Amino acid sequence: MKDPLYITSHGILQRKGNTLYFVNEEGKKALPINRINEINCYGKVSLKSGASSLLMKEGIPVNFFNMYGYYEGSLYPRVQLNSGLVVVQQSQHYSDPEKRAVIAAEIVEGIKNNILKTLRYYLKKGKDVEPYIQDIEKEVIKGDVAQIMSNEGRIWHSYYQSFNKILKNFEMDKREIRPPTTEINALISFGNSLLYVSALSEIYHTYLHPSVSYLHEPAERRFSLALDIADIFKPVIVERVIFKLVNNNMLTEKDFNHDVGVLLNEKGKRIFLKEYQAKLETTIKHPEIKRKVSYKYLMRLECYKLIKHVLGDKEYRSFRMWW
Amino acid sequence: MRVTGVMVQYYVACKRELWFFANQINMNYDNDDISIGRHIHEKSFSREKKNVNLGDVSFDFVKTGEKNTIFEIKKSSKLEEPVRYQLYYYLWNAKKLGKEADGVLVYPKEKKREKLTLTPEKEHEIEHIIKDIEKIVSQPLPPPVVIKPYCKRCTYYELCMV
Amino acid sequence: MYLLIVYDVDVNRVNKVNKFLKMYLHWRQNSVFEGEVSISQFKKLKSGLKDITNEDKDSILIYNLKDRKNFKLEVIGIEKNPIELIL
Repeated sequence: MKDPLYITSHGILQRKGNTLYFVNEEGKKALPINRINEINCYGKVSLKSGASSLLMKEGIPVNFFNMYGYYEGSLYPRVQLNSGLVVVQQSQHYSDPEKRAVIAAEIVEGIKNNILKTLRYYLKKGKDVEPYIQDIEKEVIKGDVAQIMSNEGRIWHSYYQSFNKILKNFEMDKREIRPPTTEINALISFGNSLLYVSALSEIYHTYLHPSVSYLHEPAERRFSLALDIADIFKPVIVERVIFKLVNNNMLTEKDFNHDVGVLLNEKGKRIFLKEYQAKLETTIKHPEIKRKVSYKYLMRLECYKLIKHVLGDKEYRSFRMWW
Repeated sequence: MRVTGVMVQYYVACKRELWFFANQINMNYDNDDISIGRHIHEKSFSREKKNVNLGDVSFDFVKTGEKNTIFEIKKSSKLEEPVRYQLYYYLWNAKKLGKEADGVLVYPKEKKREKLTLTPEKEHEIEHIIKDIEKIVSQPLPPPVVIKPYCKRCTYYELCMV
Repeated sequence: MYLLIVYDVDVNRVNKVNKFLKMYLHWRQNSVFEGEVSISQFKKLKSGLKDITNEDKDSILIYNLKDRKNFKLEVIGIEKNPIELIL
């Protein structure tokens, strides 16, 4: 299995021979090109042209994040996977409002289910989240896409409210972005951007087009299918990482900068990235595939299910935590 | 439609795989077994002529002596029967172009070779297979999943099972 | 599979071997490389090393440790190049 490389410091990526080096004031580090599947840059990272052509040749995307940890853009290798049939069918399922609503509702069912699983886990651990569970259980997901989106909005709202009952430190005020105004908002934003990029990289390994989405509007500037897929996994990946880091005091006030809004500092980012990466690599035995798969691969499987759905091969059923 | 040797192999192995492949849904891109196959291909017989194009198909390599021989190199003999038909298809193509040939299947890792000759029955069978491939591929939906012993090694395994 | 590679090769080929291994594994210290590879990478690595070395004169040891969990590393002195993918 190849691993992603995260760069939180400032430096230069360059090519020497047939491999990659990261050079900064601390020195020069060789990076085995055949072991890397993506590069995520959080610091000020420059790419020499030799490095970028090597990375594109090897099919390794480079993603850039700004100082807030928001995704800014990517350097992606030329798209290799292309199936006209899949993209045409994928688009038809978007342009037909009824077909779109079927997929959107399934995505929200997945979100609801995974949020409830997470909350019940903390309920069992003695956290007083029962009222939020009841609110979310009440949501009946149906109707057109607009109605399904408002279902979704209410579910996230109740869920975010429950954070104060789960977290031992920091407060969840309201969800605020650009810039985040509290530590928890900073962590959610940081984690969501990461998950978005992970979902995007899984989509790139399939035949789906990353811009044609069902719950989110494709008109948005981002690759909205990655937002659709990532949402299903946020409670399983992002929030579980946040709760662990905060409740075990692995992240405290001193890991944040408090100047323009609240942001993780470099050390804080590294701590978060390490936990996030470990979570993505966690494996679980898949009941249908009968093999161990990583949480990251579960997002790939989500894409496969969507492909089968749009081709008319098998109806899509979103990922619901089964453990 | 251009029928390739791989499509004939898939036809014998799995109709669903054939449909996906012919509809440009190919899952070979990050499979380790496929990389190994490519590596074996590059390292074996490196002195002889490789990847010959003849009419509609291209095959591993040809040795011209008294009679032409078409070789097909494979990693393992697990898919013996489908691979035989792939080679029969090459032989059938060669014959159509007036370059009659015998075939040899080579498994360098297992140090195994198998000689194949195109008989009138096989010719007839290949013609039937080509017609059937065209029919399957043009259907709007992929054929249903049929579990076979080699599913677990297939690059479409996850796509089929999930 | 998880590999530890140690080499002792002619001075004229040291650089070649070092550069080649850097494509697949983490450089740990002089003449020592370590890391995870897939089966196909393992095959390419071995045939690549055979191509650039002289099998009558050079020596390369490949410890196949199967999995990172199978061994415990202890360092005396300084660990010059820790294996990190968060920089």
